[in-house]
Amino acid sequence: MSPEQREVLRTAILRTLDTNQTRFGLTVPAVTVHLVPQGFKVERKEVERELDYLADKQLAEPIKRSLSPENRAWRINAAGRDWLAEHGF
Amino acid sequence: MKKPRSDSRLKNLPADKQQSIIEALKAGTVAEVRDQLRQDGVRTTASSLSEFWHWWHLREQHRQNEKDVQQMVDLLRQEQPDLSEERLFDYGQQLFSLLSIKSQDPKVWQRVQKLNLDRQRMSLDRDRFELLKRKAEQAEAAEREIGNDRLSPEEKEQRIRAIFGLS
Repeated sequence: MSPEQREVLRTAILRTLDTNQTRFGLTVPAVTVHLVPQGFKVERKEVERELDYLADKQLAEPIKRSLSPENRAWRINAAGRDWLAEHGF
Repeated sequence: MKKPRSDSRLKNLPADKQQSIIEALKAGTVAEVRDQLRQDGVRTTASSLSEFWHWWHLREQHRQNEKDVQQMVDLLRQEQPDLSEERLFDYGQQLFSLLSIKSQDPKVWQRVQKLNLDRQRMSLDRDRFELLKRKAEQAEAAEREIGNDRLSPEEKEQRIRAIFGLS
């Protein structure tokens, strides 16, 4: 996947996380499923890798109280929402 | 800072205004809703209304799921008072995730299509995705030919032109 393709995918992941305004997070399988109607059929590992990247960039974060690593749940944070707005989403 | 897109503006409207837009989309045509919003000072497009429709329904679904999960967690707390709040939250998180997956309803998108909204932007995103993928594959193939020491410069040029569809 090229850098440009990754950027499109990362934006779609952030936009998916942005629909969830609850106290719970979205797990990797949930994010993966919600990407399908947006035209993205990607492997869970790919999604997990991009979520880790978004966390490194401090645009998303795993919820603190979570189960084992494979069941991590994710949320967008304020910086992520700002990033979406700044990029016209 | 870039100018916010029109669906971004829709997402920042007050909750009651958002609700009224959704109701209007259910009752009327996209063009009618777009024109009405324009009269109210909100400039938007059919594509943005499509995005907003999807975002709003998914957000509401998450909210409803959270309420359902909370009821289950409260029930579990009553039945098993020894469980810690952390364990209860973990249980709720797992349940929320399952509900989120199961509630991913393609009917939402079918509804969007029925509304005949302009999905051109999303289509362009996908096209761009495929184009970039194809270009990356072409670049990789060309790189392989360039590094092939068994080919003469003319042969390399011929093959590279073929890869990019120039021959």
